Amino acid sequence: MSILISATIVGPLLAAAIALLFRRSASLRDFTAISGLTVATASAIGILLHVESGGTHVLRVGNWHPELGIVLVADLFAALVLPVALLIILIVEFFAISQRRTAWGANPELAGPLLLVLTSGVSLAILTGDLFTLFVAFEMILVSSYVLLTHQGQQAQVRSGMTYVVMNLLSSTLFLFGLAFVYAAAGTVNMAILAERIPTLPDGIRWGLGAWFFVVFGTKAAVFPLFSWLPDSYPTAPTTITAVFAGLLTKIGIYSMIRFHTLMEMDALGPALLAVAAITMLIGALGALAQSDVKRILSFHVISQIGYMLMGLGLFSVAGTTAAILFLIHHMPVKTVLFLVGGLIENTQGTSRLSKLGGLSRTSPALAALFAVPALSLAGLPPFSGFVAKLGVIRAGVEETATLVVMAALLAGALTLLSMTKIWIGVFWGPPPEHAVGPSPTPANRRLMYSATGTAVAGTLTISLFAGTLFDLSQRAATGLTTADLYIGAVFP
Amino acid sequence: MIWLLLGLHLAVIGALATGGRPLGRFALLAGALPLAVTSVWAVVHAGTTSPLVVDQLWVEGLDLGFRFRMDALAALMTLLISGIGTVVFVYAFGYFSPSAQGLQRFAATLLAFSASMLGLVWADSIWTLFIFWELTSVTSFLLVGHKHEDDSVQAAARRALMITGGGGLALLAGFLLLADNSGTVVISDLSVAGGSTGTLAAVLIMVAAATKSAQIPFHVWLPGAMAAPTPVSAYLHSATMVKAGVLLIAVTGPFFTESETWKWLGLTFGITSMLWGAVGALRHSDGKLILAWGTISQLGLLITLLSLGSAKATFAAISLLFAHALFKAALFLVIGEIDVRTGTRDITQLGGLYRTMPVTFAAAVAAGASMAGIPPLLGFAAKEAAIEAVLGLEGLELAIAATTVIGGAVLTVAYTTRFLFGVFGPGPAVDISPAKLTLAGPGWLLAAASVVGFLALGLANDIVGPAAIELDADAAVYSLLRWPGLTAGLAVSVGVVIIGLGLGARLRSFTPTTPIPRGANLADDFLDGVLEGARRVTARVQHGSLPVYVATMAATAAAASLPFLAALNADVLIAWDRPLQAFVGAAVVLTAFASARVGSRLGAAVALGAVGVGVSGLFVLHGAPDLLLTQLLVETVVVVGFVIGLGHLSSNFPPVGTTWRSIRLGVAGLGGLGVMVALAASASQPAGRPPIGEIADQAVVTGGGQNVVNVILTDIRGLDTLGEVVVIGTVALGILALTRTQRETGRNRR
Repeated sequence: MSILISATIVGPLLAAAIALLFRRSASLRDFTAISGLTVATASAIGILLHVESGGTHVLRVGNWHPELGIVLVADLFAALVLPVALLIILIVEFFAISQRRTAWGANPELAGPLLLVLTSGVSLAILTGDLFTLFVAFEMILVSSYVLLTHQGQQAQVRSGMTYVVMNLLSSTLFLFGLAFVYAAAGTVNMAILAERIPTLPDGIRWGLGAWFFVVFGTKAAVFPLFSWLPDSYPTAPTTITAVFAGLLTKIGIYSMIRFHTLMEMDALGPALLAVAAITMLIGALGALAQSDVKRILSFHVISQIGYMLMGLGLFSVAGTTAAILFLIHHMPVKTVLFLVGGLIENTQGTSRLSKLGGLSRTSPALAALFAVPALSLAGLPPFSGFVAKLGVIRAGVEETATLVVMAALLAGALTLLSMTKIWIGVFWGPPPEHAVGPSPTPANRRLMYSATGTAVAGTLTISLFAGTLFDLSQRAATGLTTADLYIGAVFP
Repeated sequence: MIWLLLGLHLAVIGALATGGRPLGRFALLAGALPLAVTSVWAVVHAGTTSPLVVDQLWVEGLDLGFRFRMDALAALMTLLISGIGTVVFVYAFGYFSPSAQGLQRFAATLLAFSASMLGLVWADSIWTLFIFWELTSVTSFLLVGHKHEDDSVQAAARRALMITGGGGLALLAGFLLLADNSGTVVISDLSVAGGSTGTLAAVLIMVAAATKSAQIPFHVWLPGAMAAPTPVSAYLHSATMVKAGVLLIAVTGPFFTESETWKWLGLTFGITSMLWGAVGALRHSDGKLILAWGTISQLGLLITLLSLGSAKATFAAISLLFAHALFKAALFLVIGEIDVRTGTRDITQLGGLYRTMPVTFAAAVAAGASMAGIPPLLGFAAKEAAIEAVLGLEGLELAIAATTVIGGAVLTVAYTTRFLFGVFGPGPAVDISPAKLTLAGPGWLLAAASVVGFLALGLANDIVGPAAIELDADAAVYSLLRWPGLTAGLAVSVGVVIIGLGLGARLRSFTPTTPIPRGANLADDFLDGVLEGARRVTARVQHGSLPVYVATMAATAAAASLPFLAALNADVLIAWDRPLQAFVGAAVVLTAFASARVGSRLGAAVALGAVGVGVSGLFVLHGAPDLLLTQLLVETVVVVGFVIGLGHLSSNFPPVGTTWRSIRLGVAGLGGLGVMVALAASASQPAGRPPIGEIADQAVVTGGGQNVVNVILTDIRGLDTLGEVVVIGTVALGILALTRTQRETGRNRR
């Protein structure tokens, strides 16, 4: 079991190092990357199976006692999110390999290794039971994503990368300050000990810490008013990279927030979180409506959807946390797929601007189908996973009689649907554009791109189909978080 | 069996959607297959008294599942959906030209709609009902948009989806309240909802029904939806989908028997739509639009009857629902045939068709007479029941319902007369293309059903009666009558027909200018207004200025530190351990301030370096020489980096307005203060101390090193160090990549 946990973190790092050695052979490089990711993903699935039956597993790094050293904690929450996250990266890597040779592809020499570093960071962020190690994981994710964003050196990318990196470094700085506060107040950065000590702190310090880390994780998660970096930077990156970013990065922020704020019993912040959640959903949905480019619309949806997860968390009930976790699991693949479809559109049509697209439902019906399923799911329409997740959040809201935020959630759903019809009508309906930009001059391996996207769509459908099982698992994970004693007991048996 | 039927539908949908060899028009015949099978099954279950229930949980924790119940009401609806569906699929085969594109996908979508509609009427759990309700909205969107090259078609499809989708949200909210109130999601187990929750749920569900059943003011999507091919209009927008709202009211009505709001809201929707819809039918000269407005009116009548809540009215409503589906679908198929064969469906341009299309004329007269409520047709018996039901009311309800229902009936006769005269009546004969059996036959068949329904009224009673009993057990005493006897109801009916015929004959040659679709335009303007509003809001929030983003973040962080203020304990705070700290601290603050104020880039870099040196001075005062060394090294590298980097930039920062500069300084200062307060508060009352002694001991014993910091970095927290090493390596890679692309682009330029 411990070897599996290590494999998800060290495996991708090793593969990154090896891939960097193959400077001349693209196929060897790709093979290494795929192997590294496959090992990590398989390990993650193994972890889930173990944890599901055997309970939380704690790995003491270097065998140091948790009071001194670092622990990696595979509880059910981590074990649920990890395989989904890694599977997404694996699928995107397949897509990326086939897209490499086009103008929209990423630099092959670097993209693979950097994606592996990012993977390692994601695994570490999900598994760590130590607040400082979480900071380090965030740094790994940040620098690798920053380089992925800008490594092609195009002016728009470097400029938007500036916004991205400045905002995120600032959030890292705030994180570091937060670590200082926590260490001063509780004398540790071990989350299990913190879960014991923070609730005993005077109210001002306790809520102050909660608010501070809300800002830190909120910037990563792109909540109102800290989201501005996201829609400026995501659409400029190569599709595959945006797909990973959109599917994972903000989710790591909300994941950390769910973990921190439930374990540390920040219930009193509930109303504030719900208010931010409501504004985030609405602003994100409105922002999506205002755009006229597929990738920009999809970027704003990321924000609006984060609002739903935040709402689930802000209710501070088992039902709410359950819904937030389920929403997270549903959202990651759906969002990634949508960006992959955006990439396919861009690849076959040469642009993602609505005004220069049209009529694709006739010319590429397969693409229309690949878009329709995740789009309906994201808009929360049945019978897809998005409906289950949204219903879960809203029902939890009704249970807590959080009427206003429930109304915001319903309204944001309608706005999201409207923005999806905007894409649908602009891209798939209407006459084909008169001045088509045309596909990339160097054709990519389309079949592989389509099958990668198709696999991901099938994945989202699988999530819909097994939503019942996932809900039960999410509920158990949520109970594990809201009952901090379970977490503490696992780390200190 | 229910699963088998749904599976059959899904299999055919899947085969049609992904099928390799294009079937063209024959795809439509393939689509008719599962519906034909279903209709046989529906006939077997018609009037059943032992409902068939199947239940399949999906998400147990949310009570989400597929629970179906095939009772008499569901059987009646199934009969309509599958029977009319089969006919419509065959009709579509004749309707589309052999060269038409995309028919296979059209057939798949139409069949997907059928399956969703079947699921909706079988549903016995509110969530099952909701799932299929939304699916009908989505499939309807795709079907309305079949000819999507046209801008107006796109607008119509979007309007229909957003109005019915908005209704879907209301339904979701209403169902949540209803489920919360009853503690169950099984429709047949729900309990009566009273109080304010009940009222709110009643309003939400009634509004949802009104959007789906095109009740005023939500009706504006229905005329636009006529942009769809006629088979779709006949099937979705007259016979089945628009009945979903009526069905919803019928099914949930029993849980709102205590609610006056429910009754009066329903009556308001119903009566307004009944009257204004009929007027609308008189104002248009496009045959399909006349029928569409007629549908709005007829649905209004159904909702009026159901809202009254009496057993007799419920019985009449179910009878009318059955009759309406048959005659309205027939009329749509007729107008579609005429459209295909003459190239127009405008009643002012049509004429003389009674001679050239005699059989179709006969069919239209039969269906029209059924709509007008004239014997010997099914519509007559149903309309009689309705008039009897409203005449049996008392007081205010009698006054309102009787006058409006009778008025509506007069208008219905009038627009029917005008329609039949306009389409078939005397006039300059138009050219027609040759007849096709697949195009004409389905219309004849459905028209004949209205006749047969009356002649074999016992059969109709067997279907309608048990369905009404499902809703209200007291309905058992009522049945459709071929001859009501010389009652007041009959006298009213005769009067209605005479006045209506007269009115219709007078309006026969009335050719109004086509009314401007104000409501539809308003709905579109609203949606466009939402888009415009979104644009404005977004332009404000997402302005693209990094300094503003940074300031926002600093301000938010300052706000987040406010709670710490409450915990600030002045008693334990001391200004300094040694006065020298104050001196160095002041120097740090001053240089930091200078770095923000100085105008030249080089000056700012140097000032930043000075801040770093000051901080390392503080490290010395705290006895941490290793940190001092590290910090100095970092500062040196950073300043050198700056100096190299600055070579490419102008020597001064771009000028900044004084106000904006003050805001920036203020926000930065607040952020700094926030951090200070937070740190002071956190350290003042710690809940635990770091295990410093333990670490020092273990570093030697277990770690085997004499330098604690080294053991921490390389062993105790080795994972963190590994991570940071990776971070630095990655940064190096990034710089390499950027400089390399720059060199390459530079080379290309040369």
